Amino acid sequence: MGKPSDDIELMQHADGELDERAAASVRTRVEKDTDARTKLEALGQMSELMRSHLELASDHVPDRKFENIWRTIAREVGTPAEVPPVRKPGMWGRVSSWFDRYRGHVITGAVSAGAVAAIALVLKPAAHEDTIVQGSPTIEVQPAALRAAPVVESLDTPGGTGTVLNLEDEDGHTTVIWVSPADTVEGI
Amino acid sequence: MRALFALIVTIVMSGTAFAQPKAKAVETTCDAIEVSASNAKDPSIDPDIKHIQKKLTDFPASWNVFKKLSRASVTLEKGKPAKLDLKMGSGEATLVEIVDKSKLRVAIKIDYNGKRVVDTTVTVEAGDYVVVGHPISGSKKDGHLLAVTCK
Repeated sequence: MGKPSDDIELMQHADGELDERAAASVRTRVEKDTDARTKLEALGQMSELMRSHLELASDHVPDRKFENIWRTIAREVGTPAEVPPVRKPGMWGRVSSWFDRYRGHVITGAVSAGAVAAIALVLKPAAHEDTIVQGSPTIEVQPAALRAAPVVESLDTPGGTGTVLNLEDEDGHTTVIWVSPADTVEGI
Repeated sequence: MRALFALIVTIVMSGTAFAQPKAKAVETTCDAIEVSASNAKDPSIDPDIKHIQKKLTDFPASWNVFKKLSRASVTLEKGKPAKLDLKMGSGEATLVEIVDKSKLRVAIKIDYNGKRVVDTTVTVEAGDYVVVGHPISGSKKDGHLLAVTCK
């Protein structure tokens, strides 16, 4: 087990902070001391790990944060900021990134809507009597012999009199409404 | 936030599912034939209205000359008045309702010289005719007839 001061020296060596003479002394010690060599190797691995982690973390920092960092630095230094141009994503890129972000929401909504639609189809009421299913005949034309006589429900003939006649032949009924003006002397 | 978004998507998509195809409107197609009737030495009838000759000659009048003034196919939608393009005066027809699948309750209005001549509502079997007529001003011996059949 080495002294704490030796360990600090080893750490400084691993970080490259020792001058040439002190570094040569540590190298000599490490060659002779197995324990010191193991510690130095461990320190090297630890440093590598830390570096990799920081590199990965920096990849996730959005460009805009870097922009702000550059601006802050420029402001502190007092020079105009030279911000590296940031490429804006295109329409498709924005749409796909939106879906990536909200995929879960859309799927949840779609599944719920499907369930509601299924329930709606099961519980759907029959079409109202007044509406006619497309494609079906609107009105049934009865054979002439089976047709009922027409009924004049209301007749208003302002300034005249109305005469209603019902004629029947093999083609069916004909309702004739003849309007005679009040001042007509000779009517039909 | 996630729940709210899912709720909005659900409402929008359910609305689409609930939206039923628009039902076809209740309507009928009518044939409106406008005829001028008069009396002459030589009887004649326009070939285009030959098929309703009986309905015109059976008319209790002494006319023997019938000329087609206009003929139009008009679609009447329930409750919506449709204009009848007449050569003499103006007209309007409305499908009030369909009764027992084969009868039509139709309202017909005719104006002549800016005055209402007739306003009537008739229930008639599909295929049957309603002929509305009035004397033409002047001689008052000639007639203006409108024959309407719907199916």
